[in-house]
Amino acid sequence: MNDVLTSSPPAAGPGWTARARRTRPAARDWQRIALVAAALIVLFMGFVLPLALLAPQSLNDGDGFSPAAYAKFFTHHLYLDIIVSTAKIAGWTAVLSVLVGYPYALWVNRLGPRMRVIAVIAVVLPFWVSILVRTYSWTIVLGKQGLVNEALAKIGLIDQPLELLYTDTGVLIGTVNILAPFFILPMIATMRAIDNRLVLAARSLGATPFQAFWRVYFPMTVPTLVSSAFLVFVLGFGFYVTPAILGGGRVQMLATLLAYLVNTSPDWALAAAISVLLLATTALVGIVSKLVRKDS
Amino acid sequence: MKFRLITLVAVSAMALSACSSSGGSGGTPDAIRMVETGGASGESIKVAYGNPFTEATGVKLVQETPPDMGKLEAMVKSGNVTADLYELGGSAVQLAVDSDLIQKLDWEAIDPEPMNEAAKTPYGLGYQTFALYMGSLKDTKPITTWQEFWDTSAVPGKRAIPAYARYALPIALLADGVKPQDLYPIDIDRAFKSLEKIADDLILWDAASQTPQLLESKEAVYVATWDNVYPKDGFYTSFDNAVRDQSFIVIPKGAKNVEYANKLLHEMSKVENQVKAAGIIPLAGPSPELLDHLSADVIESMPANPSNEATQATYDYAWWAENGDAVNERWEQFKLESLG
Repeated sequence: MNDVLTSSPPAAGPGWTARARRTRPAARDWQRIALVAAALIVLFMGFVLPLALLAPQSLNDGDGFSPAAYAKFFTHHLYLDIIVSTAKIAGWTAVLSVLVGYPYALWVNRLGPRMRVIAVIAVVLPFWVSILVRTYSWTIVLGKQGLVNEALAKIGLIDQPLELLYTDTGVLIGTVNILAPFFILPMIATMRAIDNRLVLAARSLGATPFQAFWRVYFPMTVPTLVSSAFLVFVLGFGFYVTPAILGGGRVQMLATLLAYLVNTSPDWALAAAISVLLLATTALVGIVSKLVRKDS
Repeated sequence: MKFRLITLVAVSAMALSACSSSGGSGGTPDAIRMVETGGASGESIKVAYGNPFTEATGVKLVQETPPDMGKLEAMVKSGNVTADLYELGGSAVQLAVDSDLIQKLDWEAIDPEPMNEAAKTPYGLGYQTFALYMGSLKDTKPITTWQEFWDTSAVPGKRAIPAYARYALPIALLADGVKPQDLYPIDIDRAFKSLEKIADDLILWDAASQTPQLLESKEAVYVATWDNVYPKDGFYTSFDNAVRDQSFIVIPKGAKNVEYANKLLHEMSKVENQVKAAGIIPLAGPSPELLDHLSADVIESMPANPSNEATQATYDYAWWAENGDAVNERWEQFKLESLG
């Protein structure tokens, strides 16, 4: 272990690695593999293997090979409907996270160093509280006699309490609250790395503040914007606890259906088939977005 | 580094041998394991049945939650059956028999004290009779039928019911005027039509422990619940028209300590133990003499007490085992289209 650490010269760009590979091939590569071996084994045994086993599981109806689960998926529109409903919630969560998170990240990067730390901590802090606790707190805040309704009634904006809890709105408030940090943090890091002199240069060449932002600054943030929004979408797609509690059983999510198929029904073939199809779709979306990023 | 590696190897070797030795059979085990629903019900199992069992045999009872069908299936199919006893609802027992997951009970070996017929079944011991009943805050208009529960024009506001088709459909039919004794076979179309009528005012709960909170925060005016909402905590309840249901204890196929599992089942058949259980959670045990041993207060607090029986409905577990999957698909569709 020590040997690897001391013998690594400071990184000096791609040219260096290429030359090193050519001159001292095998030994160094093996050392690198050895370093990640433990992680690879855990990843393989705990993630890749079980995931790979889903495919045969989805084609087995208990008595042997059968594509019945896939037939059921495609003939009963229920399953596709639930996926669409889930995608809708996940999609809105991603869109709202961008709308809330992008201006916040912009603002954070204009703060002085001390205020910036406080603003970042404000985003990170909720991570230290369990999702379950945060979600239940929202039921107190959004309820009929909750903070929001009481405050609005006090200042005379409403006379009937708003229906926030057990609606799509309530679910979205919860999911955005929990997932937006996954968008905001990478965004702040990306914006920090952008050289502000580029904007100044644009201004000095006659661009309006908006043009300088839109044509110089914004395009540099797009790759992170897309990948982080995609991350929020993927996480939202698999959400379970928050929609279940804030939706009051009225908002249908795929994870709830899968839990039902695995735990209660139990119909593992169908659960596995849905998972395989989702995995394939996600992989496809991932590849497409990679290609889009490469183009831009 | 080297030293640590050796420790790691030693620890994992120990862990491995511990795994294999616990799989051995024969002799007295240290403990037997039961997977059950937990909460007050789990507490009643521990105090009323587990403790006397440990006193009599010296074997501990380890309890675990939740008793999912998927977990049972995984256990039995993998051949690594870690539970000796498993709690299942009535229709789940039927499903488990059909999927070959549980074994026939050896009633001769269990040697039970007198039990109600409905509780002494070939595959399960019905240890608890509960009921899905109505509850509200004290100052809400009191109701005694599901028809009133459904009537949102008389009392506007949301109604909270279980998020499971098996509990929602029977009360939907009772609300539509079906007599308790005519409930089966379930008229699925009629039930969903009845649910459509109050779709906009439905909240679905996952666990009965959510129901007191739903009432206290005024999110719901009425709840259908089987636990946690009791007059002693300041709620109004009505056990009229409630839907009675039983919970069973079964033995998984391949369980390692059947002999001791039987002994625990024997403790569960004893009336004096059921009296202790009823003191912790007001649910009826399987002894026909149970009510003679309980105070009037406790009997009255039981949703499934016999004085309410005339207006109450029961379950046809075979029907649910047969139609459960199809109904559930409809239920999911209903939730998606009418509630979403």
